[in-house]
Order: sequence, then C-alpha cells, then structure tokens
Amino acid sequence: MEGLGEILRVFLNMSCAAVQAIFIVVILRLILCRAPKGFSYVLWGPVLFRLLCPVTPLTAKTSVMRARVTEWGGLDYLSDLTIGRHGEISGVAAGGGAALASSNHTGAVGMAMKLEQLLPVLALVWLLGIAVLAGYSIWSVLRLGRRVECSMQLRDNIYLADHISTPFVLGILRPRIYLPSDLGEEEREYVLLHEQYHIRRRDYLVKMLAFLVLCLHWFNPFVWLAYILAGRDMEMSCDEGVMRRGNRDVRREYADALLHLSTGGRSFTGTPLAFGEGDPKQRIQNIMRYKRPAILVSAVAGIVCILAVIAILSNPASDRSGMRWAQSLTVEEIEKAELVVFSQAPEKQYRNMEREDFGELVELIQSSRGRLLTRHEEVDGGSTFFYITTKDGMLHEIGNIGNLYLYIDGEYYDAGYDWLSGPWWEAYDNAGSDYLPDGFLGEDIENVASVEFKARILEMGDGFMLVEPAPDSLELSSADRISLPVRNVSSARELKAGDWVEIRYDGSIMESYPAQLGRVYEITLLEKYPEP
Amino acid sequence: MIDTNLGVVEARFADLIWQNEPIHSRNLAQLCARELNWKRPTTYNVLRKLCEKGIFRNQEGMVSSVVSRTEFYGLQGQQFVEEAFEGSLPAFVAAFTARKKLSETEIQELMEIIHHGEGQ
Repeated sequence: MEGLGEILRVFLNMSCAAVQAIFIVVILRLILCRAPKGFSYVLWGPVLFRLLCPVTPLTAKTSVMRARVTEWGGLDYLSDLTIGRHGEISGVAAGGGAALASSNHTGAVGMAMKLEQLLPVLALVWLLGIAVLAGYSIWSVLRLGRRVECSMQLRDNIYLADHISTPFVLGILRPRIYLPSDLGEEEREYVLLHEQYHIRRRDYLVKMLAFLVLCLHWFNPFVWLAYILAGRDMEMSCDEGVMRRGNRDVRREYADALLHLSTGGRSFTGTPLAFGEGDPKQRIQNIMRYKRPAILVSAVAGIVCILAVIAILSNPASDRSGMRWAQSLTVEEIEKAELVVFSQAPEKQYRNMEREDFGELVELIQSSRGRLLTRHEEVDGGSTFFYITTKDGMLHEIGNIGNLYLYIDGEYYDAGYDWLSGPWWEAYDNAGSDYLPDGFLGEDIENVASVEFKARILEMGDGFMLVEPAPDSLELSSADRISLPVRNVSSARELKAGDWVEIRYDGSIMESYPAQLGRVYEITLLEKYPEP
Repeated sequence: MIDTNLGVVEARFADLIWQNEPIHSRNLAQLCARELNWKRPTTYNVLRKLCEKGIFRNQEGMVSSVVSRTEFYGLQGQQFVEEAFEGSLPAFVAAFTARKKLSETEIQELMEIIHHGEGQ
C-alpha cells in the first residue's frame, strides 16, 4: 500500500514537470505555426520523456524546470507541501535538519501530514482510472478487430473491409491498412500514401505509447491537451509528407478525399490511426496553405527545436551553494559558533565556542572540498557538527558524518576520508564540554518521556552533586549513589548537602559507580522530607 | 424482398458460394480459409448475415442459394433503376448509351430480348 503511494508520488512529480514542458511546447508551437508541422511534432518527444522518466542525464546551470532535485536525481514538486523529506537524512543530521525544517515549514505541517496520509488512498483511485481508460481502449480495439475479421486482402498489407467509415491502420507487429471497400480508386491512392507514411514513420507505435502515457496521467488535463495537439501535429506532418512527394496538383484531390472521409469524431484510444479522425478544417487549411519551406525557415525552426528539446530535458543542477558559502566564510561574519559532537557522552556533546577559537574553525571550514553527491547512504557512527550563526541572521550547519560525508546546509559532499578523519578529528572530536541545551534539536520537552524521583543530596561538588535515591524510589534498586550535573535547578536558595530534591530526567541510568543519569531536565528543591 | 445491398467483400464471399454450391458449411469454411484467410467463426457469421438477407439458405449444414447470381444482380439492377431512374428502363439505357454508343452485336441482342418480351 505504501509502495503504491510512493509510485504515485513519482508520477505526480513527473506530471508536474510535464506541465512545465507542455507549457513551453504550446508557446513554441504558436511561434512555429508557419513552419512545417514536422517540427511541432518533434517537440512533443521530450514531453513524452518527461511523462515516463523521472530522471534525465542532462543538467543545466539555469534550467527551465522550477523544482528541487531529489537525492536520486528526480524532480520534486511536492516537497513544498510535505516536510519529512528531510527525514531521509541519516543520523545526527536529521536533528539539525529538523531544526531548520520545522522553523521554515511550521505552517505547512498540517497540510503535509494530510498529503502523506492521502497518498495510498489516492493511489488506488489512480489505479482505478488507469484500469477504466485502458479497459475501454482494449474493448474498443477488440470490437474493431472483430469488424474487420471479414476483410479481403487487396495486396501486401492492404485490406478491404465492408462496414468501416474511414481508412485506418491496425496492428502492432505487422500493421495492416484497412480501406472501406467502396472507396474510389483515386481517393484510395492518396489515402494509401498517407497511411503508408504513417507506417514508415512508426506512428502507430508512437500513438500507442502516447495513449499509455495518457492512461498513466489521466488526472492531468494538460496531458490530455498535449495528446490532442500532438495527434494533430502527427496527422498534419503526415499530410505534408504526402504532399512533398507529389506535385502541387495533389493538394485539391487530397483535401477532397479528406473532406469525404472525415468522421469528425475524436477517439481516445491508443489505436487505430484513422484517416478521418479529428478536426478536418485545420488539416485542410494546412494542406491548402502548404508550400515547400524555405531553407532559412527550416533551419531556424530546427535550431529552435533542438534548443527546446535540450531545455526541456535538463534538470536544474544543485547549486553547491553550501560549498560556496563554506569556502568563502570569514571570522568576521560569525556571530556564534556551536559545536555538537554526538559520539560523546551526554555531558560532552556541546560547546559554545569562544571567539578566539573562530580562526582555527574558519580555517578548517574554508578548506572544504569535494564533489556534490546526489545519493548518500545511511551511516552508522558518530558525527561532528558546527552550527554557525552568521551576522546576517542565517543559521548554517556544516558537519562531518561518519568520516564519510561532508554535510553543508542540506547538501552532501564527497570530501574524502583523509581530510574528514584528519583535521576534523584532531581538533574537535573531544571538544564538547556541556550537555546539549534543551530544545536545541527542535525537540519538544513535553513530548519526551521523563521520569521523576526523590533523592537526598550527599555532597555538592564543582558543578556536580552526589545524591542518594529515596527509599521508596525505583532508582534505588539500580544505584544507591548517583552523580549528576547541577543544572535546571528550581530553588529559592543554593542547594546544600542534606537537602531533598526531586529530579526529573530522561529515564536512563548509566552503569557506573557512582551511577550517572542520561539527561537531566529539572531539579526541584523540596521544602521538607516527603512523607511516604 | 431481398436485400440487394452487398459490400465488396460480401460479394466475393457470395461468389464463392455460387461457384461451389451446394456446399457443406464445413467445406465452405475451409474454402474461405484458403481463399480469404478467414477463421471458421468469421465464415459462419458472414454466411448468417447473407442468409438473413435472403440470398442463401443453410439447411442442416448444407449451403445453397435462394437466388442465382444472375437473378441477384438482375434484382440489384432493377432496384437501381427504380431508385435512380424512377423505374424507367429507357431512361437508363439512354443514360448508359450517352457515354458509349451501342455496338451492332449489342443492338441485336437487345432486339431479341425486346421481341422475346413482347411475346409474353
């Protein structure tokens, strides 16, 4: 069920990309309306690609596609609607990422959750639509096939059939041309030229592929528009192909035949390729106006097409903005620099760095290097992160993940094991000196499980205290002596030995002697010894 | 009144029957498979249609004609003259000969038919 939702997400993104592409092609078609329709027809190729393939080998500095690029190279239009995309980041960075993400997207959270939950359901509706459309097409093709069962071979792959209203091409491997048996000799000639041109150009396969795409993207009205327009371009470019081979006189008779055989209807099936489909007026206009194009017009149109194809097929490159920032960082820009080292014990995970240490830090950051990665793996193991607040109010994150990746503001770089495990490790692996401040990673204290117990202070030390858990507490069974830092104290006066306090912490006790607590949230002085 | 509308393909099929009647439907199917590349159900379907038009009959598998080929096309011609020339045979002949004059042999044949018709 979930997998289906993800597949739908991929298709939704492809559909969005295609809408941008279709928009471009529609505009270009208007510009190219005086040029041969063959060029317009070619423009639909990249649209088809965008509808079927989420990734492209081409990237461009400035791309016409306005979207984020995901880790695996596809375009992401839905991200603005969903958080939790950052959730794919592994390990520590998830915490940092979430801190940024939640501050930027708080408004979208409600809607984001909705979309994530809806996707599996929407996926079922999507499948239903595909089934209906494909089923209808298959049924109508079978029906048509039965009607031309009793046909008669004229020659080669051309057959005569009694009760059909328009000539058409039917078949995948060995396509056949079916002609109405009462078709006049002259008309027959033009029709055959037209249909054979279709077959030579493999249009019957293209149409089927296009219809398959239409089925998959049935929810997108722009795709329907594209299907109709592309169909017209296919027919008109075929008409032009027929006329190129003949002399000018052909136009009149050809237009007559077209008028005669026009069904006026538009069918939405993958096959067949019918002669009389669609709007005859446009085709006849195109035929009557046709003249051999000037070399200049063809050349210009060709160039426009090539440029358009490349543009539509190019994804935006991630701009390596993180690397650019890092390599140009200066000491003066730094307002505040905080170090977070997750591999250490809780009380050594954080340090708010002194200004005199900024120089060394900036030297390290400026030496950032590496290739931008579109793909990264989950890493087990520690990481070292700097949270740099600059004077312009921006918060940047730069970190070393498992000596494998250099992470800068959401981008992953391949900085090399030597550099990552060298200067980073030496300078900063053991540099934490404090607990993480509460809420640093965007966690909400209330939601985190906490446990309380009462204890008597045995000794007060330098920033630390030694306590003995109360007789009725569970903690006593784990340890009779617990050492904890003096922080988050709620008390009217200074604590001293002999005082009773209530300690709220995250519930984890480390086996040492004296025992140590995980994270201490609050220490409250109790007025008097609590009665059991 | 039989339906004399016959498509080109149906006419070919009808000719096969006229040339080979009386013929068992099974053999007819084999014949059509050879001549037209038709599957058996296709042959039966078209046969049924032509029987409904009143041209042929299928009695316990044996296919034979209700009207002969000449009779059929004669009827077709008659209907055509009805519709196109309001039943006037002279008008039809006039139109026919407007394009191409009659040859001596043809005039002779026509005279014999007219005399033959007079006698009845």
